Amino acid sequence: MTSIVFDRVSKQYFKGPRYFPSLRDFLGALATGKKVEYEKFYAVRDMTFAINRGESVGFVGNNGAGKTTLLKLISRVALPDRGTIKTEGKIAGLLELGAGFHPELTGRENIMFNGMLLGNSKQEMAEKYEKILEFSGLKSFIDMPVKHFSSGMYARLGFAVAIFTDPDVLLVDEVLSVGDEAFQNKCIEKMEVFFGSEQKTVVFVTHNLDLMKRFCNRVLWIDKGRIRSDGNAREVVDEYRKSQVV
Amino acid sequence: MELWQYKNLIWLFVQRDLQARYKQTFLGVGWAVIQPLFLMLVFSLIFDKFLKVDSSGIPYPIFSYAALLPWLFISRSMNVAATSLIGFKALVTKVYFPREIVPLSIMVSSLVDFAIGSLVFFIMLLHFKVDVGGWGLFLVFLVPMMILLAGALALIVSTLTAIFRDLQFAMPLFVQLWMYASPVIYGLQGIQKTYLPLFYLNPAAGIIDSFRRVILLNQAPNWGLLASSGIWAVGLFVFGYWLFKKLEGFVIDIL
Repeated sequence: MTSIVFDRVSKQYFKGPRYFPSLRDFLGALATGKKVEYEKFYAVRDMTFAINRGESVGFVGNNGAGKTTLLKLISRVALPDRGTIKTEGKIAGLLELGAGFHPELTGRENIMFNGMLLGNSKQEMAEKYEKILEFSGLKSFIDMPVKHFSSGMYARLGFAVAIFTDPDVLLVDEVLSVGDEAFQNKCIEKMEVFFGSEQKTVVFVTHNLDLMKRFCNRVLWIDKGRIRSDGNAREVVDEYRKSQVV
Repeated sequence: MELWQYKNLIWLFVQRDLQARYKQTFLGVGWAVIQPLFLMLVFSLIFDKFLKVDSSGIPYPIFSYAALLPWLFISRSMNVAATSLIGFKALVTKVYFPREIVPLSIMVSSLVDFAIGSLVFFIMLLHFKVDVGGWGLFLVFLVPMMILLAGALALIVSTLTAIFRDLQFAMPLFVQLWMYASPVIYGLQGIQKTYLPLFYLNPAAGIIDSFRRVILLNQAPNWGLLASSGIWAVGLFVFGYWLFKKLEGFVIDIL
């Protein structure tokens, strides 16, 4: 049973000084008939892979390799320029600290807001509220507007909401590194329970290679928008590690 | 449609917008009423006392208020929705949810203002002793048409402004001009016959004119004009939704 399928997916982003199309450029192009050139680069290039339900997959790679773009494509935050993506089930992503939080709302209000943004009903969120609050360890700060939260607090709340909404696919992108050791251990335990279940899929991006070897059973090495290696976690991580020696 | 699953979310966004607007202001929700009332007063002074614009025998204040209500709903939807995607950039670029909720919730929030303004309108109707007749029920068709038009405009301007940021500045001007092109300050009866067909090009004209006719004059709407508004409303909504979805990916990338 496949959870995530990528078929020849490519995604380009703009770069360079001409980043924003402006009305002036657009109208000018209409008038002269000349097309305006924008510089682009490939974040993800012609990628094909499939992840099955129950797999815990890690993405390793250098900064700028395309890992975050991949997560954005999986969670439908970004759309591919070419190729098709098929996903099954509810997807919850921790792509960035405070993603899905409204800065003016309090922690309490944001639990509801974030949960509903992830597609849960008001009732579901009301039921899970206490558990989320408990896990996050933020009881005394919960009525503060989250714009005043520290990065560690964001990580705690974000993770708590994401995992308790019981998604089918969990995407985690380097956000755990911000929490303190106690919290990281708590998350890891919770994730092990999550990983252990046969119906849940996890995609994990981290630069903590030992953590990756510990959790994931399969790792994809992403390099310059392509898959350089795909296989057993231990092997691929070691391969990647070797390439990192200057 | 996926939107239905997220219906709670739309309401959450609307609540958020209402809270943000009224929590910190002294008069709170009263502002929804002050805007139409204030404009009505200014218009009455200039266009009734000083200029004597033809208002078909209806007292000018309520004549203008009846038009201001739908107009302010449509214009607010446009002006605020224009920067809505830009304003919610952080949310929209990091979590997936049907993004049309952003401009559409602005429209719904403006509808709440409309509802509050309508309560005051009701009081005014009593005060000016207007005989509201059977035609008043036609609102059942006018209000959805108005909502469709405002929703369409919200979708279109939010997408275009996210791409062409210059539009942020052009939008208020455009909306202002549009008001003058619509029968808000004046009524269609004062317009010279040769210019009347131009109003078919104005999506809001039929709606606003009909609002006045069915409530204040207990008359049938101008069917031709209303039909044009109806076609505009449906057409723009279909186009707007299509445009929004088509450009959604691009907008996310450049926000």
